[in-house]
Amino acid sequence: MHAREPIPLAMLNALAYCPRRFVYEHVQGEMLLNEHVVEGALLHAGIDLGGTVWEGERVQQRRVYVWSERLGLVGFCDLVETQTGAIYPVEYKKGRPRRWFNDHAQLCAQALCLEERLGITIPRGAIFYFAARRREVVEFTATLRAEVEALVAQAHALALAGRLPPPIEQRARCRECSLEPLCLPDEVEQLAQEHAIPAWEESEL
Amino acid sequence: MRGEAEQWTGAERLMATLYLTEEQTTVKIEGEALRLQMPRGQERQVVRVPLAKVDQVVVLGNITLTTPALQALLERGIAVHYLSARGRSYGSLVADWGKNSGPRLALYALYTDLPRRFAAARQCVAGKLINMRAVLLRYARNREDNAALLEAVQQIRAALRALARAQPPAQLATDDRMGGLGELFGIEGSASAAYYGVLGLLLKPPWQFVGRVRRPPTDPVNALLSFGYSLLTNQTTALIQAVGLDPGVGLLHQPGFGKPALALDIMEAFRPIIVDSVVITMINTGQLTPGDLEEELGAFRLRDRARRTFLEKFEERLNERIRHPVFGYQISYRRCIELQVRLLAKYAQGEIPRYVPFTVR
Repeated sequence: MHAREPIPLAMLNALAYCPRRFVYEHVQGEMLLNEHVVEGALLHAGIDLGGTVWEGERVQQRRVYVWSERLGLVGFCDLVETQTGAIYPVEYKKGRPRRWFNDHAQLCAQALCLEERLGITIPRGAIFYFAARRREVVEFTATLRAEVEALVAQAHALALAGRLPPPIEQRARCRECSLEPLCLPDEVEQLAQEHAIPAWEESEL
Repeated sequence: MRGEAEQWTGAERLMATLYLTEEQTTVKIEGEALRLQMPRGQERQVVRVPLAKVDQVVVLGNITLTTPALQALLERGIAVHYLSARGRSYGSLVADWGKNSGPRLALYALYTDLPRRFAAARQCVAGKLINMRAVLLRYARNREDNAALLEAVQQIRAALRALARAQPPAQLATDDRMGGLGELFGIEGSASAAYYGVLGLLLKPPWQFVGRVRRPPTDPVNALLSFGYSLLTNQTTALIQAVGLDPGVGLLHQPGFGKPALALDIMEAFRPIIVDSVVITMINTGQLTPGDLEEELGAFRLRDRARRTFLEKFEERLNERIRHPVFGYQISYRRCIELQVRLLAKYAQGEIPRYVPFTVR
């Protein structure tokens, strides 16, 4: 039996986006750059410097290492903020509040790690979207927590199996995905239907 | 399906090969650029090339890259290939492979699974034969005296029919040095003999070509083909390494010391349409003259100026955009080669039921 390797928090985001992307990134170590990835990395450059800032009542700790023994998670919070007794994670994302739940899942998983470390309950956190220049508050509801726990279980199962899941059906995500040039969702789908491929053996040679 | 050209433009803009051909050049890193210092007396003694514009570096001849320059290249995943002036490969310097072990293991497993390996190896041979036939047919259409060409096309067609019938041996004999693929090699050999037997007819006089001779090429056309195949092998090896596969373990070609067997498998289909067509075009348009090759004890090599022109034309061909025969979108030949590598990995991993060769009409 293999020891359970902890799943990086950022990989949960990938999994919520697409299981196939998760296996490419986490299991196969694949990474390609596109404009979204490069822009995100540039915007993160300032945040990734660790440190603590006191602003009156508010304490901000940047790039905080967190983990959960129970869930098998490990990673960083961009920011952990403490204000009048409340403590919560803040995640920085390029772009605008998204249609997909991957950012919420990543933030909630950070909260679950903090809760386990600190022995407290964290009711909500926030995501700062660079393009909108505002924070969106995310409530850690019982539903979201259950979804995140299911996501973590799926992550461990996929990491253990190591096989690539098939491409997802929501191809709009593929168009924005940096891994499309190696994942080849349309091409795999086309070639998986064997009858659709012209076979030279059967042609008029 | 995906629409027209726009899809890969982002990925392909970066695809550029820096060929270093000037003897005695020193290459250093200067900020985000390579600084090429040519020997004294050269017209432009110093040239700067931004790293962002380089996808790989090919070093031909006595040229020095400093350790900081090599580190900067490797850090960005840019491979450096060392070739002799004749195009023989000494080897490559490649960045670490990462942890992409799944596809590599899948390919090793495919190597030991004879029926599936045989199927993929047969497709590699088919791609080569279909494209050789396409090259001959293209020229046969434009000439009256095409009987010999059409005869060779018939021979290749017969070879393809035999290929369609070929089956792997039920039991692999312990002394089978061909690994059960002997029949494929036989078919490939006879079709190639027919093809190379008439290739000389496509060349304007006084150029002559009677058949393929390697190690060393003893006539100018063979020297050009060998040089082109070497370049193609390097390109393909680099793409295989970028995908994370082991270039040394092939399906059709037997693994051997220093032989990039997988690259040779993948490039079979591309030899006629990339290298042969560049050689034929350069000869027939007068971009190359017999005087561009010098003889050394019966072996031939390209003079410096002609070698530079050849590299330019070869790169142009790789960057030429075509409509992909199966997927229908516009992509460069270079990306077509990479797609074949990725498709082979997907076949090995069981994602697609068949490895489809790259063929042109």
